[in-house]
Amino acid sequence: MKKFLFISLIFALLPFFTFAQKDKETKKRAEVECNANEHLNKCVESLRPQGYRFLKSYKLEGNASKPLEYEYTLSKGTTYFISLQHNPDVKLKVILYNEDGREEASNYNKKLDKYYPSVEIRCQRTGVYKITFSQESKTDFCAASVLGFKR
Amino acid sequence: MKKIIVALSLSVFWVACNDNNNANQEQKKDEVKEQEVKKDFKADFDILNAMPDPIEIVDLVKSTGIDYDNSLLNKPENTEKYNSEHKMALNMGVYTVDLGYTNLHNKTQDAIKYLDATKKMTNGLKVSQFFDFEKIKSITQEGKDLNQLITTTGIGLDKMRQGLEDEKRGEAITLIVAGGWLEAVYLATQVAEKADRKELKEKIADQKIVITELIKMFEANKTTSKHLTEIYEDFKKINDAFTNIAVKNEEGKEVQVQMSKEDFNKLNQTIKEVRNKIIS
Repeated sequence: MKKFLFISLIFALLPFFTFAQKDKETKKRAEVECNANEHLNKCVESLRPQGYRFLKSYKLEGNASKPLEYEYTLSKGTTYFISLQHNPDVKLKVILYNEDGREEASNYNKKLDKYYPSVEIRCQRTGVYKITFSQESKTDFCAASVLGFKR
Repeated sequence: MKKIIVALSLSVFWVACNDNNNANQEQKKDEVKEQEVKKDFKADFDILNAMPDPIEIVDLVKSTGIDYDNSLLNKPENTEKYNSEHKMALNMGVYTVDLGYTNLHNKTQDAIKYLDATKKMTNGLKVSQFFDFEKIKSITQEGKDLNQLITTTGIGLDKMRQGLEDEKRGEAITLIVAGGWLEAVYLATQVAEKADRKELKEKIADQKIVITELIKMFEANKTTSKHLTEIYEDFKKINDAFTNIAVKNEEGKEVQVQMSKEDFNKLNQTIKEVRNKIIS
């Protein structure tokens, strides 16, 4: 009888533990989500001094294990600018790949082990390029990026 | 007492399970509804998001130095004609490109008219919430900061695209993108007739990449409705006009645009016809 009572009590209380965990996750997600707009505004501001025109924005809320991937058609003869903004503890890498899968540009300098807040590319060939964003440390991240252009 | 505790525990357990079952049933209903919506129009949002922004073409057109010509643009009064969602979506794309053209040429009076036309289309499509029209109008009227104007408008368009994707309104976003692309290429071909510029011809030839993707999307949806069948057939004519046109870009060699005068004239005429049909 005591065993039966004990088991029943566990089953009865189980949903409450699950909800508490979900609440925790939802709160964490909300905390991660809330800064993306702020990062986006800073990215947009960074286009100005360089004379770039706005093209696209990316709100980046990622998992450390999987890069975020996007595609965009770049045009020959145009210079593009990818600006990044994120929380200080994040090491965000952006890589631009051409249609052949070759790396064309990145904000990360391997020799200096340095991450730059932006990358500029003069497109040599019109085509669909892949832009990937990945986080080098092991936490989830919240960031933003903006793509701009000028001739 | 023991019996009461058992009964209470079982009750709580039963309520929790029942709530979960109800939630699952609701979720299944939503999934079925979602699937029903998805069957109507198959949109590939990854491809749509990869499409180049027409502002790049309009910027190149401006750089040719050819005089501003508002007779090329879709008259703002034509908004009265657009009552169906597909017409509004196509012409929303058209008007945003015309707006970009007037802004880049610093034609404030015209820009205000095109902003109003764009706003009417956004109201009809229920996407006006993504734009800060008051701010855009204010910056336009001040006529000082072109870059801020283009950025604010661009951000609105970006938010609208994301919003339509979130609402799974694939047809609306596809038609807006298609209408915008068509208007930009139309402006480019009209200006290219007057200005013999290699960059402009190259840009026009490059659009083969875009039409190839657009036609695939329209083909996948051509039997969805009568208007989509028509749009597919019209855009197929443009795709066919690009058949002999190509850009050869070999490493270390100068870019070669393969586009004879006849090819260009055929493309120009086809684009003009399809575009005029869309705005009529």
